[in-house]
Amino acid sequence: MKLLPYFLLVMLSSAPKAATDIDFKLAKVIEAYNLRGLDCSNVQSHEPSLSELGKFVFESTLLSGNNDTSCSTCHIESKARTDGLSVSVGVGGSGEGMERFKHGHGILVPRNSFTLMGRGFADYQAYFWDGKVQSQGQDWVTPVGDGKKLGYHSLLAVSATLPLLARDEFLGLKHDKDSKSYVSQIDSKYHGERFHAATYAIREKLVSRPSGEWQKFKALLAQNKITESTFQLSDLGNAIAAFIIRNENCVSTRWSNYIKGDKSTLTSQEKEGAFLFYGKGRCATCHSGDLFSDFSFHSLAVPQGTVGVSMLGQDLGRSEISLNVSDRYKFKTPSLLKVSETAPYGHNGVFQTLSEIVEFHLNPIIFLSGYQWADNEKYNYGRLLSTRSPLLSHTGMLTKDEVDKLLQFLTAI
Amino acid sequence: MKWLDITFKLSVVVGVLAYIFKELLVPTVVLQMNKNDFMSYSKACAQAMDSNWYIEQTGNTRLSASSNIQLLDCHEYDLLQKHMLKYGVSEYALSELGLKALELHQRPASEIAEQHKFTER
Repeated sequence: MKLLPYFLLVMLSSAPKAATDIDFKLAKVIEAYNLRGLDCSNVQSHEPSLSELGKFVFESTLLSGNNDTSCSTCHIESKARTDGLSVSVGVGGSGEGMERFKHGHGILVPRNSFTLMGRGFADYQAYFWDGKVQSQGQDWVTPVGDGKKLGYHSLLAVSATLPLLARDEFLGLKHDKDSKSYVSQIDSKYHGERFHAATYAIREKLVSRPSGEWQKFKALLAQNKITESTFQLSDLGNAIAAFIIRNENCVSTRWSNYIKGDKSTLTSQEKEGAFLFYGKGRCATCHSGDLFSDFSFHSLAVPQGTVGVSMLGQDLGRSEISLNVSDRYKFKTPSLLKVSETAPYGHNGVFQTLSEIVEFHLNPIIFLSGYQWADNEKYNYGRLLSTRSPLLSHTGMLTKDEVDKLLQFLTAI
Repeated sequence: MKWLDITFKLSVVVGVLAYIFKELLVPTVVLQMNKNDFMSYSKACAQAMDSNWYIEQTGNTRLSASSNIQLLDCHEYDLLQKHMLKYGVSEYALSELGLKALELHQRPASEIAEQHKFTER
């Protein structure tokens, strides 16, 4: 009889452990989704020797009409290559980040600034919130036309030059004497003509500007066998892309390391969160693949706020590019690489925390109940709400504990 | 003959005790130890199967992939169910637990009516 409790304990302790083995379940996830982890060698075509030129251009204000904006203005190194603002502040501004916003004179660029981390992978298929630069099979569809014929090495290179052609981001203030001619020279042109107008405008500056910074610029171009007469805007795109790929692309994440075999790199809560992300939470329906994006377009019915790229302060998103009614208020699924470092969230940065935007996917009323509507916005939100993606209706029934685990997983990607 | 008598009686006692142990004690202990997990897995599996039914109708391959992952919750349910059956828990007991998990057990009207009765006037 004395042996009875021991016998009972030994027998009952043989309960199946494999059923709750989260690593077993995640192995099934990795297999089902064909995840391989991030491969730093799998990058878009680029010329590494251009990266020094790209660094100079990235950090220089020379190419802005008022000499007050550089790429690093909205893609700050200390802020995970975002600017930490809901929407960016372009020409006419001073300083960076919140300082630039408080300065008050800069023109608002009514979209949230993307991070540049991990944007050079070969699988990255579409850029900008509206996907204005994207690959479709072997073709590149861009606002400046056939990027390959224009001399660009990659989609990233094309994307890197589009802000240089945007009035509010780089060209300058329309009524400012310093930038007026530069703005009108480029802003009056469309599509491929805009590319050529910018090329000629910069060639003129290369010839006529004797200042130290311009001389340094010319010297760097010459190092890469680019002269004033052979210079093309695509040279800048290629250089910036080379810099981004060298400096910002090779990110390491704990989830990627887990996929590659390091099972100790995630906590048990994060592993549970991963299982929810790829299963019941349905997150991977859109945030799919190793880059966490399907590069397709969906609407969450994010409230519009006070500014937008379309008329009357709206932002119609993808339909501004496709002109398709079914694309209204849809935006590209953002990649979630390093997402925990790139607040705020949403195409207009209306969500200050990850928790807010995750909850918005599940139940928009939580956020909207405390939201400060812009003028007349509350009378117009209904048109937006009707575009909310039907995919969201298939999310599993989650508990608060499960949402917390999801959020923890998002710190590991 | 006395030793035969003792042996026989001892065998009966051991047999009865073994029967009680195997048929009553062990299943009861296994049921009590695992009932919360079983109910949790029941609910999760039911949700997974329900979602899967509708998702398969969408034709969306990514939704289907996530639904297939969610159905792993049913694997956990299956394993635990087999474990409990192995140790003698009856199928009836497991069915009752499953119904409780889904809150499909019968609830009398009095449960709701009580909330709406005056307790004093």
